[in-house]
Amino acid sequence: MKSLKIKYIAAVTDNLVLLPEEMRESFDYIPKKLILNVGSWKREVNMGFSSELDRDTIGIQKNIFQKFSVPENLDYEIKIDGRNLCVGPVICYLVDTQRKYITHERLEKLEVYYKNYDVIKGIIFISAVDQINMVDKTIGGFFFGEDGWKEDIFTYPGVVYRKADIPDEVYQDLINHIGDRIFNSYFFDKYETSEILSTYPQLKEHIAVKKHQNTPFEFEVIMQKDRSMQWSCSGIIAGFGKSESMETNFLIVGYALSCYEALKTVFRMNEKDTFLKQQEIINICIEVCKAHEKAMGNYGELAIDVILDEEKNVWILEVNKTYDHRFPLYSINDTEMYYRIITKPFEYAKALAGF
Amino acid sequence: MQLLWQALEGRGEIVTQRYKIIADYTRVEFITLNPERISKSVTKNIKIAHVRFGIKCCEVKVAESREIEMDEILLSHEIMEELKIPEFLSYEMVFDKNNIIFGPYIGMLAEKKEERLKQIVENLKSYVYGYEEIGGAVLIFSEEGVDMDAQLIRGFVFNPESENWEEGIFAYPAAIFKKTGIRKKMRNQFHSLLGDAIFNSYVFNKWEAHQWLSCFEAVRKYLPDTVLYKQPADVKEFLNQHKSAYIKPIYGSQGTGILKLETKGDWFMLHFSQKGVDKEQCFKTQGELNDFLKNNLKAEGHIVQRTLNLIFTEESTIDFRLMLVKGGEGQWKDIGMIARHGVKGNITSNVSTGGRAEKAELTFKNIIHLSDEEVVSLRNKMSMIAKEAAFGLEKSGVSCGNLGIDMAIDAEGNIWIIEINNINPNHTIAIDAKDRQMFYRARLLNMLYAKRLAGFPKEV
Repeated sequence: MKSLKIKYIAAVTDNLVLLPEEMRESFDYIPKKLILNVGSWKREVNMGFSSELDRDTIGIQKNIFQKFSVPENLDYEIKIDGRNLCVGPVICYLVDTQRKYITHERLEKLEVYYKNYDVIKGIIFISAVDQINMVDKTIGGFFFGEDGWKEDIFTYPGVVYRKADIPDEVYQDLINHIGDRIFNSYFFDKYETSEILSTYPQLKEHIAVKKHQNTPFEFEVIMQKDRSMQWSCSGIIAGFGKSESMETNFLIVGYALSCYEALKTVFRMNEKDTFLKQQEIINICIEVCKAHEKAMGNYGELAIDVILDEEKNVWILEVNKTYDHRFPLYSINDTEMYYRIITKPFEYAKALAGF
Repeated sequence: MQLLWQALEGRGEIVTQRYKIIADYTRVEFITLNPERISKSVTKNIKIAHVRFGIKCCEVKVAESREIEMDEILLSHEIMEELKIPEFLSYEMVFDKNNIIFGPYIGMLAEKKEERLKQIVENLKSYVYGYEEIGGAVLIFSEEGVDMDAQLIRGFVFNPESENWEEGIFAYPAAIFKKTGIRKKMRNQFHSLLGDAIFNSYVFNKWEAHQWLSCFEAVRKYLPDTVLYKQPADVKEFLNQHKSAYIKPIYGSQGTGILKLETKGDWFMLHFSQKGVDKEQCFKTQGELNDFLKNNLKAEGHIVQRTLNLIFTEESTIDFRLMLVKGGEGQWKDIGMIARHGVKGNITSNVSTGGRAEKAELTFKNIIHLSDEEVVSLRNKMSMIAKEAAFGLEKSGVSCGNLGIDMAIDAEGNIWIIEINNINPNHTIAIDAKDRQMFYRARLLNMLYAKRLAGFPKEV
């Protein structure tokens, strides 16, 4: 896919998009008019080629975007699909319910999510739910670029990655304009998880019952989708100690291991059995993720709490739709796993946006 | 196509339902299914079906019976014999219109010679460590064991109960995982009978890989300048431009037969390795060099490639082997990258010639001194480049599922693709790097991809 910059031009013809001469080959057939797509915004435009444009630049007539901005100095990917010219990706990360909670400190912590911006490209912006403008179909938000953070107004994006609750009215409006490209879509609860899993004979048998909940040893299986849009396991962390909440437990007991180490040391498994058991856990978790998606919508990441009983059978305790990405840092101090985890949601978002 | 899911009795593993196929001596040309176990929506109204195993197919009538065990299927004995279905295994079953497909039936073409296959057959067990997930019949065989006229194969099928290989004569499988080159006639027959269910289909050489990948913009910039050797003048011209060059045989792996040529003023220095010992030879004139090249190189049998100023430590130069494999979902997976630290002075960094291996991430951290964050970002970048190269090869027409991509980083931090191995990239390098998990994973994914090609994909 081509990566291009945008240049605003003052053109004689209204409503004009100019493509560099080199892009002529990208078309099987050259249409007179194109449908310009930015995020979920669309508009039919006149199209021409120009040899005066810099290579890898697309000229867009000023004023085409009126209610939102599409910054000039970014790298965008361009996709030509029939008469559609898609510029993107445009991704909105909804981190909170209200704009006032997005403080400087908060933004500083979020900078890490732009680490692989080079491979994502386009516009990734951070917003709160109350910045969504249903009248204009725009969202206010923050973009992190070369000059630091900038606040601006953006179009309804191609994809929403959300960690905050959205009021129904707003959610419906997003679904209406963006479609099923909001993840994680629905915030299910523990009861719904077991309801969903029990409809699958092969998963039903893995739902943990009361007697298992005192196991002093629990795995958190971090499942994510990446650019292949398929579920894979980004890491498994084993925690020790008896408690309801694994996370607080880590802080108190401060004892956790990677799944690999845990299986080898606690269960005394050999290399081969360790591999096969991890494989089994991952395969079950993939099925759990797929079951949740079938029943409830689009998910990009889920963290699944799993335990093993004395016979090393796998039991599912709970499925978490949000979790702290820094978990691998404070539990087993695995920075590589941490960076692997934080780069995946936007990779998936990009693929979901069609890029 | 619909997989028939059912859980096993009690607290079983999560697996697709598997069936024992029992020879039925009471009826001719019949398959008998237990309707309680098999979803009605799939089999409803089917009276005649094609039972398939491997490439073979038989027409049968369909009957139902509640008398037989839940995990059993009765199949008339003469059909069992015709299809050559091993009775000691359990199979998954796929319904596709009026086809009832038993499998997976996977073949692994592991060696050219039967003798050699017998020697290594035990080592190949690592491919079936994940048999629980693979299921069906796994046949390993040699090129010699194939009877193309009778369309039969002498080889070994894995028996999960005894955990041993059972020797015998079997029908052609539904998919072939090819780990060795075979003659074209056999390749063509396999493709005629199995369609595209073969990987790796074609063994490309270094020059082909270079030429083909040069067509892809996203890959081209990572390929070092390379020309095909036709005559000594090609080397002369290349040295005028680059001062030094590698001369590599277009076939060949593990660094065998690689020469390094440098200009030193008017002289030419040649470095090469002979029986594991590094040697040097000096040519004082262009004429001497040309004579050497004429005597030792075959036209179009070698490439001339730019040398790279690779990252190195005091003891060694370093390059990387990235393992790219497809699994049951049919997507490329980067399952790990190993850094190979060659012996200093050696012109290659192959572990087979005395080097050492470790996970690339360790080398990035300890030798290039990258932060954790930089490690992940460099690793991701190399992964993406490797995948682009794999897509390029597929678009060029090679069906592959098991690649070893040799990459390097030069002193300026540029990434290079040095070579791509598609015939049988060595997974044991993961063990050299003390990562058995990676080794197991490579082997299991290979088999799950073969399973997919055999008609039993992992549902996504």
